[in-house]
Amino acid sequence: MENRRTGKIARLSFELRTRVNEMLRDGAKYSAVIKFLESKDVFGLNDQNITNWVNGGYQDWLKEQSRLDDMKAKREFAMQIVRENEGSKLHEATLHLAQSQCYEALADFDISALKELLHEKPENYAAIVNSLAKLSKGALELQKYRELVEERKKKILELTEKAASKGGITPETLLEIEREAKLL
Amino acid sequence: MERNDQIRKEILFQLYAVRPLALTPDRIHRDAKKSNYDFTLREIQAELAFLLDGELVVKTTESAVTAPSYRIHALGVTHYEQSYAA
Repeated sequence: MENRRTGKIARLSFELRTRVNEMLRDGAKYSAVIKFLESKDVFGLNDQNITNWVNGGYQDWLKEQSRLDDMKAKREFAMQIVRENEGSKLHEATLHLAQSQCYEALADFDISALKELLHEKPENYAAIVNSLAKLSKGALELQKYRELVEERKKKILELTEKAASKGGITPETLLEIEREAKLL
Repeated sequence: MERNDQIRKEILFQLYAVRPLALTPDRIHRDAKKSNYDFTLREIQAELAFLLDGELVVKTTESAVTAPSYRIHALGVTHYEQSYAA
């Protein structure tokens, strides 16, 4: 089982460590990395520290980034599909629910192959988007129904409380309650 | 790293990657398997309950029709970055 790394760079804050990793990925010289860290009041590092990190923690980061990038790409695609199809009609929580459903549908795809396919045959885009939008539609409809029920329940409660404060339910109030209940 | 700590790391990693979206325990299990982890679904559910207690994740849906799903909480993001991120 892997243990947490304890070297000088491993012990940096997440933000500094991420910046170091990005610099290494972009081909920065070790001296530049050391200079950067010194500008952030991190002193006492040498080329050997950087070499150790490149062979260890940096490799972990690269593997992690590869997985993160794949999952993020699918997330962005799922979010884009739902936004384009339903976005303007939904509030945020419902949007995220639909986007999560869409992500679930995309999760087993090879996203780069899918994007390449769509690039080569853009006519497939509408069909795929349509199918994915339909998949999330079920969850959306359920959520919309639940919101409607909550709204109606709140209204019925308001009516009964108002009636109670006036000493009883009038025939008019009863009719209104029945109407709200029938709409469910 | 203890096994349950590895599972928590993997759960938080996946939820961190897809935030603000939510994942079901089954999805987390399948993606962990793809990355060659041998965690069982039961183990993942147990650790999700632990993370939920610690307010590192939030349960987003539960009904007779929809499977429960979880998303990472802001505290979970900080915890992941400080404790697990490479």
